[in-house]
Amino acid sequence: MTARHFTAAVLLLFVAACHKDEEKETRETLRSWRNTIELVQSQRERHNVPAVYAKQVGKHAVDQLSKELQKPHSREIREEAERVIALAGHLREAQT
Amino acid sequence: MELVRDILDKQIRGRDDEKLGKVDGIVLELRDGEPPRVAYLELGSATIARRIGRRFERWAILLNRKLGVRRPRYRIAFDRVLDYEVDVQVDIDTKKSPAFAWERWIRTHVFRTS
Amino acid sequence: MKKKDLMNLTLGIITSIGGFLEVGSMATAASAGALFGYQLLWAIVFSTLCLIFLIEMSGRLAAVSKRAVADAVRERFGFVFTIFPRLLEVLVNLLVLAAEIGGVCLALELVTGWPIAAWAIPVGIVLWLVLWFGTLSWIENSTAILGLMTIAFVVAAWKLHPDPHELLKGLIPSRPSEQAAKYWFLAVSIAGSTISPYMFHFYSSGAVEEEWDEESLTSNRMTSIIGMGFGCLMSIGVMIVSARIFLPLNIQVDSYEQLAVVMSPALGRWGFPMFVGSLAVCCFGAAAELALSTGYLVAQTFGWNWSENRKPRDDARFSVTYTIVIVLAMLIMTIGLDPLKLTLFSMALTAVILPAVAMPFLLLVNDEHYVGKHRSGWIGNTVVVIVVLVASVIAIVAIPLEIAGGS
Repeated sequence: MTARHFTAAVLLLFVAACHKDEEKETRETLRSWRNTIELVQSQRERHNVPAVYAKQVGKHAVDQLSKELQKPHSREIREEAERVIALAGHLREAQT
Repeated sequence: MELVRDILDKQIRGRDDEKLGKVDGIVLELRDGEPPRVAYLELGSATIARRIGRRFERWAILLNRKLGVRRPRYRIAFDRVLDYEVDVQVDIDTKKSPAFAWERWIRTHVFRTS
Repeated sequence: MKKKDLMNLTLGIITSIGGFLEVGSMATAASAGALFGYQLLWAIVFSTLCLIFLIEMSGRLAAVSKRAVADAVRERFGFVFTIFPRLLEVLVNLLVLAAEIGGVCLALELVTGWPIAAWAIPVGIVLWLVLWFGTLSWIENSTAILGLMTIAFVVAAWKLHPDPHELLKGLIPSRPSEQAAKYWFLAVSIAGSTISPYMFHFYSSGAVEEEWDEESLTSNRMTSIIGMGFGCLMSIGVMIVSARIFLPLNIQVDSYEQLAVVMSPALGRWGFPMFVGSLAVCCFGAAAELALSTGYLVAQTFGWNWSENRKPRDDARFSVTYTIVIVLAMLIMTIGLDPLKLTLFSMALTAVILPAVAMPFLLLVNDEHYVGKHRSGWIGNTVVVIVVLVASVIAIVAIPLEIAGGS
């Protein structure tokens, strides 16, 4: 194995590791937002938070996750992101 | 009296107890055959700037000229010092002093009072 | 308790409300609770202890020497030593002031839906009016009374029944099982947001304005402990509530929109308004403290008239200074910057300047010329040395940690 091959292999491993870390971070972000939306929704149903706030959470979630979707991700993550965005969309349409 | 400890960078108050500024500099008079004498206390942006460096002093003087300030530094004769225990008390009417110029300008032009 | 002691206590409480609980520290404590449970409780308690000593020293210096901190530092160490840290402090104060105005705007946005940028100017104007027409005691008392609203965090925490054993374990520093960079970034942020130089300037200047003397030393000590202890308790309340609500749900606190729901499960319909009210009051108190602190800092460095209790025209340069700072901060917020990101950045800068601010303290509070026979004991000196050492380490690692572990 030449030095060039070795360097290329190390770089590939590094990129793969970073990508794996990024995937993990994205999964955690998606889980965090999904649970936030469900928490706000449950509090909204009990009239503990106003509709204007619930809408803001929904809008913020849609904005953040849409930015996330612009990055390259696996199909599984993209589908989950779209599901969470759909949930956030419902919250954004919350009625008074 | 220790000049740096007891005088330099201390608060100056006038006759009316108003704050005039800080002692930004001390001017010594050199005398033949005698020890130097403290002649003046000095205040002003040019004096402070000089303590950082000559270039800063030149910039301060230039800025003062552009702003129409006639005196970028102002001296108080040391024999006007009444006390220096807590602050440096001087026998000067603060409100009429050139060192109070900026305060007076803001009071006149921003607050529309004398 | 004498009336004067009570008045002194309100200075302590407003210093605490404006310094402890504000837009950055609330988010940091909540973030720490959401990610690490009670594991960073020690950081809040440690920072509080350091702060109590430093605030007590600044009050003691003011009471005995009749000089506020900036005044004494210039006098003792000279202009050249003073000017560069002061310039950095003014810059940091400006950024944090912008973030605090942003915090008030955030609270208003959560309630009305109108964006932060739309609220920046009205909030800035109200802040200016309060400082321009108010006196220090009026500002202190009203902020202290309104700030009692933050007790809601402690009530919510109590209602959520945290495990006392886990709380006690959190008082001991521990190694996190994962996300070490984030853990230490949050520890640094907690310290940076708690031990803020503007609090010493505000407290010592307030002590001079209220004409404290040697008879005030006992109440100064009480005020430091009770005032800062109050803030610490509220901060711990935020962490506990976040740990009980967000941690089990794996919710990371990346924005205030996520944070605002935190008290609702415990307090029902009172949760949201209490959160929003606390955020608004704390950030407003912090903004008032920052604007005044900046005015004090500049006026004392250059020897101008300064007093919040005088009419603005009688200390024209001081009044214009805090006016300019408020206007600039307002304009920064109209751009629409995220107050949370701004404050996290400012906290890293605060950590960088802290050694240069804390070191003069050590010398001043041991200088007979300034504090007479009321010099610091070995405990106080040890604490300041620790603060200087920790601050020096933080100064080196703050910015790399922000890059590695920050949002």
